[in-house]
Amino acid sequence: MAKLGQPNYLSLSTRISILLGSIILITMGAFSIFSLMKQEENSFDAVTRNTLLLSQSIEKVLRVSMFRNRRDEISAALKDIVGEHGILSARILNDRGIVKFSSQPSELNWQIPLSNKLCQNCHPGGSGTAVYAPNGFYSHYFDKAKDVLHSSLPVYNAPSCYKSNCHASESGIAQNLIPDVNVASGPYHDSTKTILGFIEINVSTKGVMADLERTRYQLVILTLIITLLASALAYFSIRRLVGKPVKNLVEGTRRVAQGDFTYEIPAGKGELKILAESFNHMQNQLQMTEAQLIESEKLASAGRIANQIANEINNPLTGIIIYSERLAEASGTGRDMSEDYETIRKQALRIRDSVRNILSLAKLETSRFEQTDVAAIIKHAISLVEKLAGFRNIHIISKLNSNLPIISADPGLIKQVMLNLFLISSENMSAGGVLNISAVFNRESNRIEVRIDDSGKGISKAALAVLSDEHLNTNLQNIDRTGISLAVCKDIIALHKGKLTAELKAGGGTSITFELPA
Amino acid sequence: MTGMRRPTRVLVIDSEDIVLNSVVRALEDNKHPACEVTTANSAVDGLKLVREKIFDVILIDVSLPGVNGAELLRRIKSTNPSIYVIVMTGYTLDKALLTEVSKNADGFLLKPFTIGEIKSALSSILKSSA
Repeated sequence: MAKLGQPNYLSLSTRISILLGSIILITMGAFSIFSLMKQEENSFDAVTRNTLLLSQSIEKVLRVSMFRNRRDEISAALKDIVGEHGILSARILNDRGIVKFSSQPSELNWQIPLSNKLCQNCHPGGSGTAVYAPNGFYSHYFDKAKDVLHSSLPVYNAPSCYKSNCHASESGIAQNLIPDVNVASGPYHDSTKTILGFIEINVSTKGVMADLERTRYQLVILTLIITLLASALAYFSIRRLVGKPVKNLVEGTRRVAQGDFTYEIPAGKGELKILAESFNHMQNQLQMTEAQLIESEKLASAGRIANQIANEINNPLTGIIIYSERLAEASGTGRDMSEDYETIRKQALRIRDSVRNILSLAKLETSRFEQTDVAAIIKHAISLVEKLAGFRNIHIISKLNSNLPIISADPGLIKQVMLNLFLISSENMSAGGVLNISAVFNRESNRIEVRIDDSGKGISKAALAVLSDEHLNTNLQNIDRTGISLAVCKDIIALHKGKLTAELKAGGGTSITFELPA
Repeated sequence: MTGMRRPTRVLVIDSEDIVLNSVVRALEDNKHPACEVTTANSAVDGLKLVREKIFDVILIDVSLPGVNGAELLRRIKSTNPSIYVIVMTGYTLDKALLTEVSKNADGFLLKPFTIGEIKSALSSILKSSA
């Protein structure tokens, strides 16, 4: 079984924070990779576009300079652009791939082989015959190892190229642009050719790569910072909003498991509040159940002890009483012993009454309040005493109002009071009489009032005194059995926050009244 | 009833001899009412006697050790429904037992009792049946 509260696992806040951090890291990482790829693509596109524009500008310069036959201008232009915008080198080839102009004079007249990657687009496999290349075709590729963009823009033949003669208007001297073709005069370029040459530019992409590298670095740092910040924020928020209440709950559960039902969980918010309330409610229920269990346990053991005492004392007392009575009857000869036997009998009866009342007092200690129908208890008590021999000649009249409320009381104790009061009355009416029992509900005082009137000889002054002196009931010796009974009744009623009074009626008999709060 | 000629046949069932002997002594004068007392010191012996002989009244302690008093009372009544049962009891009785017992009992006698109390308990039952 898992032990609660053992710190051998990660806390809830830590786990959720790690989860959240991971989600942010993955999301941000994916986003970064995507945007880096897009940026790389855009950067290379831009480099390519710029290079194309540059090549086209050079082509225009070339055409103008051609007509003017200014070869030096072309070479100068090529040298000028090197170094700007990362341009490493620029050259112009004729249609056979021979370098005619270059920013690097050393490569002049060098023939570029068809195996060159730039040529492969139109001359796949180094074939001498070019596949068809539409007008505006632009061959280029990135050498990623060296961070260089190689580009080649074809220079297409145009009427101006083969119709005009290349004799510059200024000098009047025919210039053979391409020395290995021997044409003395007339239009220089062959009209049947589609492509007259190529403009090649090599551009360094190191700057672009450095920019991308910097962006990548920034994105990684940003991702890490956001992940850390979000995780930390989540950690502290969860710890505060969830972790602490959950910790309280765990602590509470552990205490309950150990049998401590007094730990109250501080109320949180929302669902946690409901959870805390449910827990506290359960706690109270457990506490009540435990209290009830202890109570019934006490009652049960008190009941067992009382039962044992009753048997242990009452059975021998039965013998003492009856045998002494028989002896008193039989002592007819010699010295009159009847008074002595009577003393034994009286003392035995005194023990009997004391035992009954002590057991009643013991019962008070384990009182158990519940919803109680006082009228039903009175009726039940009447049905019990009716069968007793002492009530043979007593006429019982009960008037119980039908509107008596159900009250919180110990039904066993209330029945005890009724039985005690009935027995007191019956003792005062040994020759018979009328016992009036009434119960009404007084709305003003919100109390049930029970009154027991008998037509007997009236209780003793000593018994009446019990009701006016709170301490007398601890001193059982000086009070008669009626007094002890009344003291027990008074204690029981006081336990119910009620009041018991007794008075001697002018015409004879006793009237005992008690009130119970509803 | 046939009046006072025939003594009332009483069976006392209690686990303690002192109680059985006391009841015998209390009723031995054979007056008010005249009684013929038989005793049994266990529920088993008591039930056996109820089956074998005829009794008018049974005095019984319902809190006999190891015996369900209510069940014993029910068995006695089912064996002989016309028999009168007076329950002798100490001070305490649990609620359920009390409820059950009061259904089948014709009278109660609180222990310890005097000769006067046992005699009036008997005579009030016999009188009500007369």
